[in-house]
Amino acid sequence: MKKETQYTFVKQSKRKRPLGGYDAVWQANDHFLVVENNGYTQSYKRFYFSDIQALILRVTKRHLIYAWCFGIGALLSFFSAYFLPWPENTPFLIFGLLFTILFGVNWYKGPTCKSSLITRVQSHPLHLVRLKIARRIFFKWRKIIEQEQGVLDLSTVMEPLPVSLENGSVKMNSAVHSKRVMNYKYGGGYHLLFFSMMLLVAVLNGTQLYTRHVALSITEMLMYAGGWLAMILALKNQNSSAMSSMLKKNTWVAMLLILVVLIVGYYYTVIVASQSGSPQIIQNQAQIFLYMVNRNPADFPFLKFELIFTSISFSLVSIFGLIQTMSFQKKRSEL
Amino acid sequence: MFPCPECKTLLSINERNQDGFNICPNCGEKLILELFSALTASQEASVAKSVSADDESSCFYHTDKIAVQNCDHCGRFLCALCIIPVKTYHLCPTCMAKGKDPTSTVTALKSHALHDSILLLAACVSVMFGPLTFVTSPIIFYYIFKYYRKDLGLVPRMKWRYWLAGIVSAIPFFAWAAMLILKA
Repeated sequence: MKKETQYTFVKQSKRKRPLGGYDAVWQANDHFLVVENNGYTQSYKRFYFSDIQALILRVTKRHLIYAWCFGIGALLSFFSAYFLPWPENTPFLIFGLLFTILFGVNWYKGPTCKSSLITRVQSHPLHLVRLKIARRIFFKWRKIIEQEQGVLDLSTVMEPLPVSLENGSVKMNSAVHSKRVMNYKYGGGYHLLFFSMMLLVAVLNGTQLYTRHVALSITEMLMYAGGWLAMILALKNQNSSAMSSMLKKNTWVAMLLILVVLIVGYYYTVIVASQSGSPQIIQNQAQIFLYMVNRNPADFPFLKFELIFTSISFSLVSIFGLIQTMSFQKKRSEL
Repeated sequence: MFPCPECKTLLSINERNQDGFNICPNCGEKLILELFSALTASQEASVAKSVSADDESSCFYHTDKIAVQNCDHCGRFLCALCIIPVKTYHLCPTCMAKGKDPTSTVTALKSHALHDSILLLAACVSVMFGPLTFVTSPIIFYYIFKYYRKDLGLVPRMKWRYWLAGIVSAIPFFAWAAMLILKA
């Protein structure tokens, strides 16, 4: 082992984290140094070329989810902007532009993937999440590792290679990846609660197309608050749970949908309230609320559209989520 | 053959599609597998032999096993189970856990505090404290001088954050000082 200060490190790849810090891989003359920077501390992990058994890259569908979210966001924003007069539609135009830029960036970066580096005792996830870049870097690393180890002659390997698998992921050092071990401890209770509340919100929105009442709106707000709490707990618990990835993704989609509906709905409410006869109500949230409760959707096309959209989309997502959660619970009870 | 990370189905490594992917026939997972010689080398499992004669040295950790090597750092005798090869050196589990370097007294660095970022944050936060910057700014200056010349971790890092932290903590300090002097 060399004295560490004598090493010269060459940067191989780097990816910034959304909330500050970055993940990077640096190359020394006999090992890769994986640097995890959270903004205020750096942690180092060394992987010697002679110890690396495999580099694995799995193509994921995350880029499609991003594309759908950004695409739908852009469409909804432009659609809303089309129905509103200038300059009230400015926030929607800005949102639409932002979503379009994000859609373009996602399309330019290409398909997503998950990559990991495997040694005899552990599997370490790498930060390479875009296929184009990951393939280019893996190609470079393969050359470096093969210079150290020599080329593996696959024709001589007749038996299955000794990488054992457990619960859908490469078997790994429990100390390193204890979080990733899937379990059936969580039964999906928060998911059931969350999707039930979401379905109730959908029903309430459908009802408000025909009749507007303070009690309905207050119930809807309480459902949103309770649902949001249940959703946070569901998202927290689903991470290590053995539930299907489809259900997990559906929960994330539901969260995004609620977020979009709430933001767009709030902006619209403020715009409509500002156009009312007494614009001073904008300074009082309770008055805005009461003002909107008394509006008839027939007179406000966007309000009508919002209620229909929320009702249909929330119903679809929540029913799908409920079916998936119940099938997970059935599978769990069988086990 | 290599097991699919998703469904454990054994995949034929040589069968790749034209894009260079191994596709699992069971779950349809698209994979790229880069395998190296260390994978086959690990199949040779280490077996520790038992001590059979009195004159044979035994392992420090397993007294009934023959010692076959000694730790390059602490010199303890080790059996085949306890040897941890690190590059060309052999370490015992204790030295490995402590991160000892056999060629020098330097400990292998596992983590490093980024003093420049911490000081910059402290400088920005201390601005909000108003006149208290008379106390916080000298402390920040002290730490800037203390850490500026020290090594900033293993990988190269620019020092502009120290400069910025110094400027951010200096401005309110001198502003308050000027205000107090003018008032006096």
